[in-house]
Amino acid sequence: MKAEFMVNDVKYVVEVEPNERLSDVLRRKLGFVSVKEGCGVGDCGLCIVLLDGKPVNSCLMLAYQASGHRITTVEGMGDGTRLHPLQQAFIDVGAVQCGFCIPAALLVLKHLHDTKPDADREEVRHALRSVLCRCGSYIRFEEAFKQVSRR
Amino acid sequence: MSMQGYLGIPRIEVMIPSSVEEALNLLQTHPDAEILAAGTHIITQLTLGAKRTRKYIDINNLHHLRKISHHKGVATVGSLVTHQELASTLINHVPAFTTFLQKYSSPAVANRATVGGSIMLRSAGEDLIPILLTLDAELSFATPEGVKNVPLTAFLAGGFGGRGLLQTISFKLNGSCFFDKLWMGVSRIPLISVAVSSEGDNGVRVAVSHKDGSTPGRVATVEKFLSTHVLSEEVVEKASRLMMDSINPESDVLASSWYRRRVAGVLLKRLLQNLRR
Amino acid sequence: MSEEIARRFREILEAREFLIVGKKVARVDALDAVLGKPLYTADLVSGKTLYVKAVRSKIPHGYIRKIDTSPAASRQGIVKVLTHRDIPGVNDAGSLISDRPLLAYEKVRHIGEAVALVVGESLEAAEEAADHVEVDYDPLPVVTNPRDAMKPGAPRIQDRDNIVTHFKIRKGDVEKGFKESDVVIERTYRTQFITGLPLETEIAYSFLEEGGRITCIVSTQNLYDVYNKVVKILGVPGEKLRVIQAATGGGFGPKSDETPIDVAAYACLATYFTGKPALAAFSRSEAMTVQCKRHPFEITNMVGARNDGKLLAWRSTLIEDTGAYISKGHLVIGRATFHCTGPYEVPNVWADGYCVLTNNTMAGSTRGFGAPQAHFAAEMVLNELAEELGLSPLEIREINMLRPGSLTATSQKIEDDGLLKCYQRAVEASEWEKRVREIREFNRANKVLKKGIGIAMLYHGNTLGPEGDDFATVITYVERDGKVVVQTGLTEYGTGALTSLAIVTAETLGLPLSMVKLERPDTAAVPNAGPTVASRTTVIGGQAALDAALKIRATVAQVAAKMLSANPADLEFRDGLVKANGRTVTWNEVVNQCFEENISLRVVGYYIAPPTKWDPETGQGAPYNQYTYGALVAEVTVDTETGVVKVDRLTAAYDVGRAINPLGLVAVYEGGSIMGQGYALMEKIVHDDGVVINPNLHTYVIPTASDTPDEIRSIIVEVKGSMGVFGAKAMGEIPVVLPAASIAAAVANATGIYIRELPLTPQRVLEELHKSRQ
Ligand SMILES: Cc1cc2nc3c(=O)[nH]c(=O)nc-3n(C[C@H](O)[C@H](O)[C@H](O)COP(=O)(O)OP(=O)(O)OC[C@H]3O[C@@H](n4cnc5c(N)ncnc54)[C@H](O)[C@@H]3O)c2cc1C
Ligand code: FES
Ligand code: FES
Repeated sequence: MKAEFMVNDVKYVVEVEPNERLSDVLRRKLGFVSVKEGCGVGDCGLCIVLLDGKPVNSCLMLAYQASGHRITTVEGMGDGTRLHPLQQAFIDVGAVQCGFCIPAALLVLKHLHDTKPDADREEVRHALRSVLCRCGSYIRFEEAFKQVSRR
Repeated sequence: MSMQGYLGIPRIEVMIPSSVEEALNLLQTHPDAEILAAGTHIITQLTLGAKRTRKYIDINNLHHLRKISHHKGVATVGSLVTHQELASTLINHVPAFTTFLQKYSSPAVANRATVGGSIMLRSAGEDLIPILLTLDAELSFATPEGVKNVPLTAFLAGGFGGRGLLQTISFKLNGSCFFDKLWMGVSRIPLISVAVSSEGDNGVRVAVSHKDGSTPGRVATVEKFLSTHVLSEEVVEKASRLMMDSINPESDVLASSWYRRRVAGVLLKRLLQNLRR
Repeated sequence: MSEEIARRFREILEAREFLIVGKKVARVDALDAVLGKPLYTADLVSGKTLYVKAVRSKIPHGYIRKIDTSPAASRQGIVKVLTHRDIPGVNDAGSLISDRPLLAYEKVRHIGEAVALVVGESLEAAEEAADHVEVDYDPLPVVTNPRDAMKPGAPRIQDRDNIVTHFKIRKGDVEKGFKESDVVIERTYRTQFITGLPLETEIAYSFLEEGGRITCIVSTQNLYDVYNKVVKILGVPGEKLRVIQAATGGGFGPKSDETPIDVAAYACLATYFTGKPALAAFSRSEAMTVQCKRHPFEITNMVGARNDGKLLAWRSTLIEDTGAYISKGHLVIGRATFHCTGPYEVPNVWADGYCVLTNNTMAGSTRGFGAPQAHFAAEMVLNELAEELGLSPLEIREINMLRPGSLTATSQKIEDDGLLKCYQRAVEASEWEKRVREIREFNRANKVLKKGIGIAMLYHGNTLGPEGDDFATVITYVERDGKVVVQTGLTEYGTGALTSLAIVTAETLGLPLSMVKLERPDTAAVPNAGPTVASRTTVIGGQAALDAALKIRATVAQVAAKMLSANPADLEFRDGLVKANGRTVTWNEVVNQCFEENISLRVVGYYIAPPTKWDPETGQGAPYNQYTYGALVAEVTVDTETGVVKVDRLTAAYDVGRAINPLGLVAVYEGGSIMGQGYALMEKIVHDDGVVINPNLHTYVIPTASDTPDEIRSIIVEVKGSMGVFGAKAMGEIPVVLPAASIAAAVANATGIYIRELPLTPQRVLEELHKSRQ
């Protein structure tokens, strides 16, 4: 089957098998290795990408189903030369531990920032609930969001 | 460049009909095929090796199933509407949807999971079911024999056994419909969830995630009791205790039947207290 | 000459104010991480690869009668099926004790034990074929309760007694102590199996290099452990294998244990037999079944005290379930038993710790290594004792805590007042007295919600102590462009510890942190640096990094001294400059000069901790070189109708000796607290007659962002230690130790009920409340 979609504003036309999940194609065929896998069944959220701006678990979606949609991964977060303010804030507040969940955590917060820049703590935590961080950086993520929304 | 993952799902065959007729045809000619909506459940089962079906009828090209409309206090929702869309569109009409979103275990999943998928799964993990039960939801199926309308209650009781395509779900918009749930972590299986909606003089509808085993259902004894009593503090207490005795939830690794029964009563009490205000 | 200069420089460093150490700096790997760039093992697989899947036992205990691989081997896409017979070298994947075969033979001892390997051209082919390997078993009786396993005549798990170790502490005369006590209580506490659960599961990728060397890229904490074992399993000379650690998505102990050896061996065996690249990785449910777990303990503490609160006697019996294989169980029981009294001075102690085999899945190294269990039981019994004595939790602690001059349970003399400082800071910052009043008022006004506050304290013997050779090596070299490269066999897997090594290096050389680069651990490039466990990296690895940096500095100084016509020992290294007598050369100029003069700027730094001594018969002695201390105050709200416990606030004060990287510490404090909260309130791997029934994240629940306390206050206390670099003390594991103890204490304060078994799930709390009402 053919799948045709945009990733980080670049158009891709890829031949895919029906059983290839969006995470498989992004990682294997297109090389977006920031998309991680921690469970394959929707629990951990490490495979989250933005689909038309909204977070979705790419392990729970077949690649061809993404046809016609716009996908954002963490590789597409900055503007090419500068970091997205959330990325900078993650560095500044010391949010990175093992790093495995960082791309997904950044993406769900980007969505929140885009739709509700003044979100309160409960809302930030609600959004972050989609991503498990075993290193427990949740409060750091929250801090980073706060720092960016203050600006 | 070729990068590898290390999980995956087995080879499957997918058919993508572009009309309801075509979908029904495929259902008939492929008795071994199953309908695929967003796939959040199906893909999970395939990954876990818990599903044998290898043929799917992907209904995502049936765009009319994404519509959501309401008229004279009744909403009609296409089966492909996502949880997020449903709840955020109708949040001002049905307060239960606010809690539904707030207490969604893994909110990103709500951006994909469909209303139709939820209904068809008939399980305690589908938070919409108790809510829709209290709103007298009715399901409309397209079947080879024509359209069949089935009340959600009857559907859960096994009232619709045939093969069909769930097209729409209609339900009453009720400004005093509330929902509450207890759950842990990202578990999609709640410890318990309860929905109530007040029908004014006609009493209160009450539904719970684990009515029998892990099947959601309305709780007739409690509804009956409430229909003949004014919601006083004491009646609320009694209803709460009655709730504990009227359901028969399963025990699983997350919670025992005893626990589920008790907190079902507690959540009901809190929701009814809400209604009194 | 240069050694003397190095010594002089060390003095200078320690005398002046630090330039980078203790300042808020970003981790060296943070930028890459927010760009999604770090390459984890799966990201490094390129081109076609074979997939290796293990065939795992479906019963917890039984003789293997027959393994028939032919139905699997003949399937399409299957390249090879391996059993124990095919292992070219030694069939042994035990890391310290050789009790665990890579592939089971004769017998399986726990659910999910690997019996065969299937190598396929696709993951799907390998997975499907794995179901077609036919294994016949003669089931044996399953023993899952360590108390049953200890009984004479119990079925044996291995060819040895089920009791692996009996660890003893004998201090003073407990009988006398109890006799002299006014109050004696005895209580039993239980903890559960949990899994460390790094989010990246075990994974290894191997391929053949030209010349016949197998390279294996692996997610691990212990580079050389994997290397040493896999060399033996393959039966090849050392130079035929190279192990590289890829970016590693979490460690928490399990990645230092035995399962990384398993996947590495799986992949390497496939490459060994086929000559082709191979990938072996655990699915989540595989990882949650076989990855080593935190040991469940049953701890009975009998404690006696005078009416004034002074502890006189303490008897502990600790029973540790290590599962079907020992892994580190014999060491974990040691650490737990050493710490069984908590950080309190007790003149008479008698403790018996037993490490016991069962048919449960294997327990091993998990962040905290026996300390969380021991401290839970110690802190709980102390609170229960305080209540009997009519003392507050603070009073009983003030009376008994370890202070300078106190003797620990092993009669080791405490030199510093780190514990007292942590206690004072935690009590003060949590506004304990004020909170107690507010809570009293809240609880009077509320029937359903009840608030409570609790405190717990710890001491934690640093680094390996009795658990192994406490050494580290670091290779440091300077490149032509002046960049300093630090490479070690110690690994980064999230703790930020390697950033500490970079900081120590930059500090010593007076360079900005950006001038220091870290290289991936690679057995082809670095010697064994010991395991990356026991919170060792900063403390011990930092010393080795310091040693290396001082050697570089001494060499560079000799060249710079000539350029500046000054005495090498008088040079100042700062801001990328080398200065003396008002004259300056840049770091790069000196480095250039060294290259011109062919002076090597490549050194090996080494450190080994002083050996520790204790008597195995009595446990008496000084098992650890120094101790980390801590105090944690927890505030909770209990919903008494649903049993749900919400953690409102944690106030954590830890004595880190010296905060090398304070920004990193905050993440470690918070992250450890949250992990500890999961242990306290929700996590439990459930074995049903030996079968793990919740090997997934939707029925084994871990904390999410929504479970996080409203606030975690992180307080850094610095009382210099005697061993670590610049006085640093071990920190990586510490914050997971106390949450269970302090949260359970707060729940007791809120409800009046001491819940003696973890985790405090809503159901358990409600059941306990229910029982107490009846
Ligand atoms: C991690 C995770 C967390 C979750 N958390 C929650 C939560 O908090 N609350 C909650 O309510 N739910 C939750 N869910 C469950 C989720 O609601 C369901 O998985 C989802 O609604 C199923 O919809 P789908 O479109 O993905 O179904 P699919 O997987 O596509 O299909 C599910 C079943 O429905 C059938 N089906 C689907 N559409 C139709 C149709 N139109 N006609 C006939 N048959 C049809 C399919 O054949 C299949 O048998 C969670 C799920 C996951 C994976
Ligand atoms: S991989 Fe865990 S949610 Fe997708
Ligand atoms: S940083 Fe390790 S899982 Fe989040």
